[in-house]
Amino acid sequence: MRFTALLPALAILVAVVVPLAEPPVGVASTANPPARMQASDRSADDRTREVAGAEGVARLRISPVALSVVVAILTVAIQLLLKLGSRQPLPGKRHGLVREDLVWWLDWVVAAVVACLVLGLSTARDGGSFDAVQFLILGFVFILGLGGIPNMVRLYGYDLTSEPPALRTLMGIVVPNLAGALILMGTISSGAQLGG
Amino acid sequence: MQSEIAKFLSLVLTSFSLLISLAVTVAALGVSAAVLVGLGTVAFTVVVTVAGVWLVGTRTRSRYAEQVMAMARETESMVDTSTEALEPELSTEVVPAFQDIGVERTREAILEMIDKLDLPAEKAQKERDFVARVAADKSLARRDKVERIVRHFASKRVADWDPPA
Repeated sequence: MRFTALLPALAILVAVVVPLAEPPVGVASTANPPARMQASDRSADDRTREVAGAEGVARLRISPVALSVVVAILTVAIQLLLKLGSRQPLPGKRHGLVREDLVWWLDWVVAAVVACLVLGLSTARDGGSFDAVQFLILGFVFILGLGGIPNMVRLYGYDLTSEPPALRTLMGIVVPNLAGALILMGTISSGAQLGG
Repeated sequence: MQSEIAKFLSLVLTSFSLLISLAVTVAALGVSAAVLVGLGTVAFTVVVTVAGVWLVGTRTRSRYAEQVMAMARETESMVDTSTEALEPELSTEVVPAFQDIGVERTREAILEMIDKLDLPAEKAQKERDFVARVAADKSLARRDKVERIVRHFASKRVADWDPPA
């Protein structure tokens, strides 16, 4: 059995189990809020409970951490599966995966940019409001990250003494992956908050 | 000079990007939760990446050993073909995979491979001496030692070995 076949299973497990582990936000209560509470004083959770209760639908809440992990794992798993499926195995190997395939920061940064845009658009579509400053800061993170990480990899990530240049483990794979994961984490943490 | 500036700039941009990303996380989740999330993200990324490097490296090293042993047992014409097949990935896959495990473990892996080759005692000893000499050479950097050893056994000089009876 190919080892990458386990990754989607793991991702599905995380995607299913992690949200269930979080406390579901009110499913039953249709009771009116206490009279002393003004509408403007209600928290987002209270409003969510009301809507969910009225619709009789259980709304599960997923924490930013879990969401980051799910996005990160799914991105990597799907990418590896597609590469496994589309490449010819190397001579003498059962698969065509190489060291370059361990470079995941690209996918995580792209996922972060897309997630940010989707969250912003969906919030705007639902008539919600989001903190424009926070969105600008995230945009700044992307601009700096997209300008810095690729150049860092190009200038530090390759052993230029070999022909063709070989990808270094630390500066070509581990550090850029770490940078991509941290950008994804920041985006999803603030995006999850923005999206309620 | 320009290259040094570009290197410096790339590090500064990346660092700022990560610092702002961390600050955004702290602003969104609070300090204690952000520390937990940050540590979790770092741990997850490092573990998954290192596991991937280890897995791909293990398979690459075992394939290298298989290729070298196959070369030693084939006829001369086959040796050329096998060497050519291995050459493109020597620089980008095989040498880095051995560099990841260091000189000492590379030496052990190669000695183990030599034992499996069934070479005549004199030739096997010559190869062991070569590995020991390169591994102990203080004028070579760690990376160069590994590369020299790995390339030696992937080179066409292997064709000089006597095929097993």
